[in-house]
Amino acid sequence: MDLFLNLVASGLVIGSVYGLIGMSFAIIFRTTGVLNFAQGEVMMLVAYTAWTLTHTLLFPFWLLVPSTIVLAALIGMAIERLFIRPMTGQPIFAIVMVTIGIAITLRSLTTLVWGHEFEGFSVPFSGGVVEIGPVFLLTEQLAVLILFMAVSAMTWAFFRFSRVGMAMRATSQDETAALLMGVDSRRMSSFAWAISAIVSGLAGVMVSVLFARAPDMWHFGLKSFPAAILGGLDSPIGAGFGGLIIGVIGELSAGYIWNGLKEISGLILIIVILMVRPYGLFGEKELERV
Amino acid sequence: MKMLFRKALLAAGVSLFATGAMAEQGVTDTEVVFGNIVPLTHPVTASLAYQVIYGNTVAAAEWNEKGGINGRKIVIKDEDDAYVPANTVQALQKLIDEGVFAMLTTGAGAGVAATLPILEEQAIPTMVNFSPYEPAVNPVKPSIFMIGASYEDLLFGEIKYIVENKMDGKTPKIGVIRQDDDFGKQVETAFTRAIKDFGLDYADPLTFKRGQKDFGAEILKMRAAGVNILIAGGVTSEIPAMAKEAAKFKMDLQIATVPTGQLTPIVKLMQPTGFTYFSGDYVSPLGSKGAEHFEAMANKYLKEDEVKGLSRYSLTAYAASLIMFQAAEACGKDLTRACISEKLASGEKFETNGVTQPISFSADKHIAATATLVVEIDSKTGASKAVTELMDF
Repeated sequence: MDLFLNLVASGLVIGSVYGLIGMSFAIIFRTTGVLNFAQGEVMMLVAYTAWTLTHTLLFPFWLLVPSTIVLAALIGMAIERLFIRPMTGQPIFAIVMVTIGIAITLRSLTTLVWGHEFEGFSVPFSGGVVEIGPVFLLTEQLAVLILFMAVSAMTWAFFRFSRVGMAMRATSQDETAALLMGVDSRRMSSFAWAISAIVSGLAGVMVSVLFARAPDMWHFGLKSFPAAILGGLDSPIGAGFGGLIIGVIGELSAGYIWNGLKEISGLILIIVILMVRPYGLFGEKELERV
Repeated sequence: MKMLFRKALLAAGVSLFATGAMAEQGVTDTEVVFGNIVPLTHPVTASLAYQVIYGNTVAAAEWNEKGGINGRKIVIKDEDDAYVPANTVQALQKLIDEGVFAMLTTGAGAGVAATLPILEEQAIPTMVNFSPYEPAVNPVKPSIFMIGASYEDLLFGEIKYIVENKMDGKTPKIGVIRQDDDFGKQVETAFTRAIKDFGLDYADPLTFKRGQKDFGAEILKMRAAGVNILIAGGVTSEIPAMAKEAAKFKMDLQIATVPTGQLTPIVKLMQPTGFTYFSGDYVSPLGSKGAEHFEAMANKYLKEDEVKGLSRYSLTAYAASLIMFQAAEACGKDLTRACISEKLASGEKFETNGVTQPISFSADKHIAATATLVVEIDSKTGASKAVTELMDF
């Protein structure tokens, strides 16, 4: 039981990271229909920038969080304005290719500016151990869980109750109707990229705290993509829970069956789920009348 | 007049033929070109690649200042393989096309393996040193030489030290978490050998995909199995990631690592774990008497930020380069690939300016500097010290 509970806890921690990044995929897709394959790289860029704020410019933690959020939003909006908006009206495949180009550019840019070395990212709450019965968690791991729950709740509330959130939902459902109702779809796209960069950026900071600020951390973007598919690309909350499921299944399969399953069990699950629900666990079935 | 012209033409032809027969690829009257393949763009190992280049650069600069190799200036061409064996082969082919004479480094583990057929076929003198790979020299290949103990020997030495000195009456139980590639296979051979030689109890070996960061399940399995000696078979940040999980569960653990465990970024990341852990090496540590000359030369020839980036990989590359240059020098003006391989295998001693003991190879042994020492690293203070003398395993 001890092993089981700790494996679940470990899965929830890594799943929270996948979930946060998965949510950021879904936020953009839900609003604009674009799959941003540079999500992992945006996450990395925000994490590196936050690292500079705290370790080079010596920002205190209370200032680091709002500064990172603002910077992440600016990075997201800048990418949307510079690279995505000029592609409006182009085939979706072309836009996806642009995001792949952005990904490669950001990877190179990051190593160009910060170099190849990996570094620790210390925050005031890291380094402690919390024991909940037989379960052991590092304080930073507990922080990731709390962050995931907080971001999930805020995202849900944002899309459910805020005017901007509802406008973004309207844009995703019927852009023409939304335009007729006075919704500026370009602004909604910009908001989506900003919110997505904030969510993935916070995940990036936590990845740096948990492991290291390293030039290969963009891999988490690739690993999180299945979470978005599993939960439903048009459902940010679903994508978040998809991350948790993939994390827990990965740890349990590695713990009880075979270690090699850790990386692939989530993908096997996706194949099975998509055969039954092609739109993901929490995605909306698209009905087409002919 | 006609006769004179014929004689001149004949003389020119003979001279051209003679030059063509003697000139070896990559060797001119004024320079010798060496090649170097390192993972410059691989996100995890790129910093090690630069450390290798710093070592090669110092050796070449030092040698060139003394007049080069018999008056020929040393030129080094670096190529990137991004730690992908297919790229290592392409990089080697490119260097061959560009006319390199000999190779100072040919990538890491799997990269070395991938290039062996070409290196052997073209009889290119090669010094394997970045990542020891025993099949490169066992069985002997006429033009390929290697310095440095294998990962198996390095880790075996650490485990031996741990078992004999650090168990405090506890029954040792060993486990390994290793990368699922050629490097990881070498790591696992140390584990297998230690079980056999010391009769150790063990947990089933675990593998992970390169790039994995979270080791929750792996450490939990080790904990459940009661492991108290762990071979943390990662290359860089995987080592502290495993240690962090182990520290969370307050495991009473002795940790053995490959030489990257000594690198400053790893030691810094290990700090929160509080573990005292082990690494192995075959070169004098930076800051020691043996590395004094190298460090003086590095200060002379490298930029300030490059000097800060030096590591043990710079020392191994420096030693390998010096050996290659000395063998080339011994060939005199008639520098050929066959000659350099012959000189390397002659049994003659090559100096590495204190970085290692004098190195010598023989016709049936193309590996040297295999004696290893165990280094103990206190992650809390970052201090490291050699706890054994150099020993052969």
